This record gives sequence, C-alpha cells and structure tokens, in this order.
Amino acid sequence: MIVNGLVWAVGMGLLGAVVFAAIGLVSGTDETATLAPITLLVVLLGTPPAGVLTFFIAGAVSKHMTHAIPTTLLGIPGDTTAVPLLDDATALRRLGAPHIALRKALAGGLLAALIAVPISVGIAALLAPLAGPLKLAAPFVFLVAAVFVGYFSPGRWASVLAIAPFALLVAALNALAGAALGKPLSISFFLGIAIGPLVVDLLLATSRSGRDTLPRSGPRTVWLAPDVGVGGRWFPNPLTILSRRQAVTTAVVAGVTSTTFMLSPVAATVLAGEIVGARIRHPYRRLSTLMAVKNGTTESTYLAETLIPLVAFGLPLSPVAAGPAAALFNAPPVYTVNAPGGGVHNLHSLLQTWQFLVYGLLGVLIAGLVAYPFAMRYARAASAWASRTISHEALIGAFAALIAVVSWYEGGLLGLTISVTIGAVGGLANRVLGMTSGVQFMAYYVAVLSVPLLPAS
Amino acid sequence: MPTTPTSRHGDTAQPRDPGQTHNAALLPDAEPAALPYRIVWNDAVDLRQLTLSIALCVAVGLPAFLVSRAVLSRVLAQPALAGGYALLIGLVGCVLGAAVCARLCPPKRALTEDAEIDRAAALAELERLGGTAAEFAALPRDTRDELRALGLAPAPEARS
Repeated sequence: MIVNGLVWAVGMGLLGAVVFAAIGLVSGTDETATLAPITLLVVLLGTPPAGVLTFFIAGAVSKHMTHAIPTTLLGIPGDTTAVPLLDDATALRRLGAPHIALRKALAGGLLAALIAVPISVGIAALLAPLAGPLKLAAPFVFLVAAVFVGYFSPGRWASVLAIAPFALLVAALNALAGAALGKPLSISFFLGIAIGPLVVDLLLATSRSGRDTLPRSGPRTVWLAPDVGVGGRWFPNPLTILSRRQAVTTAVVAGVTSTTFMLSPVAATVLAGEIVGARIRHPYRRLSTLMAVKNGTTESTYLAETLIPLVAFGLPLSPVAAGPAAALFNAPPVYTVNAPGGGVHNLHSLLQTWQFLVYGLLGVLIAGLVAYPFAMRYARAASAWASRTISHEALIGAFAALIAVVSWYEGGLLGLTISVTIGAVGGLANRVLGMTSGVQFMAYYVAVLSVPLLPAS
Repeated sequence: MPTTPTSRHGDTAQPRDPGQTHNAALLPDAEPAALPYRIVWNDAVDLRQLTLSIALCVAVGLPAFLVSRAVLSRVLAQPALAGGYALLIGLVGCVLGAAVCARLCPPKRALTEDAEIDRAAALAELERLGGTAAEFAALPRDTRDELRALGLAPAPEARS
C-alpha cells in the first residue's frame, strides 16, 4: 500500500514538475487558470491521493521556478504571483546582473519551499482540534472567509457587497443544472471563475463598441538579457548561491509566512519585501536579497495556504485553497466538501498527517531535481525558444478548448454554457469592481454551503 | 516577420466614443496600421488569428473527447472509466490543436537580444542607486566578492 502510494507519488510528481516547468516558461500563463484545471483532470482520471498531492506540490513549485525566467530575463512577469518581483529584477538587470536575479530567486524559492512544508503541516496539526467544530459551522465560516477575502481584494466593499448577487447566481444556475441533469455542477463553475478575465476579453473583442477598450498594440518588443554564463554545476547549491545573511533572512521569512494562510501570496510577498528591503542600504545587496526573500515568500505562502486548510480542516479556507488548489478539496464525483451525511471526502480524509509531510516534501524535492537545475542551466535558451515559438493565440486556443472539454465532461452543453456565463459575470466583476477570482471562489462555497440555509433561518 | 500589418478591423474608421476616452491605454486611432494587434489576456494577438485558433483548438479537442467517450463506453469492460480516458484524449487533442495554431499564428513578439553588458553604465547605475564606494566597504565579504565577480566593485577596489 505504502510502496504503491510512493510509486504513484514519484511518477505523478515527475509529471507535474515537467508539465508545469514547461508552462511556467510561457509568460502570462495565469496560475489559477493553469494549475486548477490540470490538477482537476488528474483527480478526475482517478489518480490515487498520494499522486494527486505530489503532482500539485511539484507542479506549483516548478512553475514558480520557471516563471522566474521570463520575469528576470525578459522583464515580463511570468505570472500574477511574479509581479512583485518585477521591479527588483529589472533593477538588477540594469546593473548587468539578470542571471544573479534569477539564481537568487531560484535558490530562495527552493529553500523556502523546503522550510514551508514541515512548518505548515505542523501548524495544521496544531489547528486540527478546531476542525470538528469548524466543519459544523462551515456555512458560516465560509461566509466570514468570503467577506474577509473580499475586503482585502482591490474592490474592498464592492467585492464584499457583490458576494450576495454572485452567490445567488451560482445557486440559481446550480438549481437549474440539478433540475436538468439530476446532479449539481461544480467543475463548470470553478473553471468559469478561473478563466473569467479571458472570457471578458474575448467578449469585448467580439463587441463592435467594446473592442476599443482592448488596448491596441504593435509587435511587442521583448528584450532578452545577454548571456553572462550561469556556471557549470548540475545542481548549484542554494546555500552557496545565497550569502549566509540572505539564506538566514529567507529562511526566517519563509518560516514566519508558512504559519499564515489567509493573506494572498502577492500581499505577503509585498509585505515581506517592504520589511526586509527597508533594512538594507547597499542597492545590490538589497535587490539580490529581495529576489530570494520575495520569491521565497511567494512559495512559502502558497504552500501554507494549500497545506494548512487541507491538513487541518479539509475545507478550502484560503484564497489559494479555494482557487488553484481547489481540486484537492472539491472535485465531484471523486472529492467533495459536501458529502452525504455531512463532512468532507477529499485528500484531508484520505491521507494521514505524516503522509502530507512525506508527499509534500517529495513534491518539493522532485521540483528541485527537475525544474531547479533546468532553470539554472537553460534559462536563456528556453525563454528565447518559448517567446519565439509559442504564440499567445495558440495558448488562448488551447485553454478555450480545455475549458470546453472539461465542462462538457461534467455537464454537457449546459456545463459549458454555465462556465461561459460565470466567466462573463465573474470576469466583469473582476475587472470593473476589483472582485478577484479568490473572492468569487469563496462566493461559490457560500452558494453551495450557506445559501441552502437561507429559507430555514 | 510574417505578420501582416494589412489586417484591419472594421472599427478603425469610426469616430471615437467619448465614453471611452478615459481609457489611458487606448492609443489614438491615427496610427492603426502600425498597431494591428490587441492586448487580450495580457499579450498582443491578431484578432482574426485568435478566432481561427480558438475555433481550431475547440474543433479538434471537443470532438476528440466526444467521439472517444462514445467509442470507449462501448468497448471498455468498465464503461465508468470511459469518461476519464476520453478526457485525456480530449486534452491531447487540445494540445495538438495548439501546436498547429502555433505554426499557423506566429508570436506577435519581436525578440531583441541586449548587447554585451556595458560595465561603465552598470557601475554608474549602481552609484545612482546609492551603491557608493563607502557603502561597498561596509558590505560583508561574500557580497563584496559577488560584486567583484560582476565587475561592479568601485574603481580602486577593482584594480587590486
């Protein structure tokens, strides 16, 4: 049993690391829009729990490593979570040290990931006694979490207010699906929220009056940093890439941020950067430290937000857990947070705490063995290849088709239509009101868990 | 570049809607020929090629899924697994479609490689940011070594 789990874990971990190392190279691939559907696919195909967890962890860590490549060498954020690193990366590039920016970011990320897994599993074990009462109160807990996440989104109170109409829309569409298909849908909603911004852009492009809100552009000039050589070691030791002070700072910040699970990774990264950056005078030292600390914080917050709610509660009570990692919690018919007779049936109930620790660390190690040396050695060639070969049109086409296939799998034409509907409404709420997808994922759980209680109370 | 600046959109000749002038990203319509693309999902695309690309990927991926599900649910001993396998085949279809699209629609990016790093400019930039010789002397040794290796040590230091 254990051997079987380990084999699955290693295999799926390698697959996740390779797939997401490749996706990370393509700048502009949104994390939620890529990690969420592909992890979902892995769950639906019947992968055992150990394989699912290792796939997700190895994939997320790998993507964070390779998306540092466009961020540092092309000056384009590799992902929304890489945006806070962009200014420091650009400044280091102006100092002629783009490779230093990349190496520090990679070393900091790997170090932080190794620290974050045991700490967040430990915190989760401490919080676990709260799980019982929390599950009973789940409908109210999600309502509070949705308000909290909404308040800290760019929309502030607008996002909080929009939770009600959005949740009602989800509940209404779900009732429609229940009547038509005899079962509620979830994947279709979830994909709709994840690709909302894309749906809105595509709708605007087809609108004669809306098209002009999409900025015009000529060919986008991409500046590839010059080749300065990255060194010959196959596995450059992160502890020799970072100075001792940098390693200690990164480790401490990663340790502290691994205990939080409600801040978004971007917010935590900006905060950690401000605190650390203000204390270093010399610009080179500050910038190179910030690359390690910020990339490390993104990694540790991301892992903590996934692992703490998963191990402690089994309920997706954080923006990452409800977004990119949602398939680990809720992927009907395989996993559900709404099992008959109450309670959850997902990785939380299928894996022991020690297994989360082992498979989580395994995922980080596999990413460290695949994506880390790859990004260290072939960064320049890989980013040049990706930006010359993979057109944005092809990328959007692939995702549109993937959404069509997966939502059709769940609910036929109705599932696809619901995905597009939620994408259009959610994407507009995101763009106009600043109601981010994290708030919308929370609102989905409000619709599923809290709204049914409305008539009774 | 095989991209065609001739691809025009029907809206270019229209007067601008006053309601949209607040959009700072909107460039003047005076030079549409030089700006044939639109920013969709954070990068520049040709809208016609985008339409083609989405249509092609969906036309390959969705039928691949539907046909294989129909076939597999009859052939497999455990029809319950048909959906899962069909999903995988559909995904392969999406990727193949995208590979074809990547050939048909080349990226709208102009990749320019930076010239050799100009050490003098980099040093000047470091000074501007506050990296003076006095600050350099206050650094721990490992950081000073890093800067020396980069050729970013202050002038007298570099000679030693």
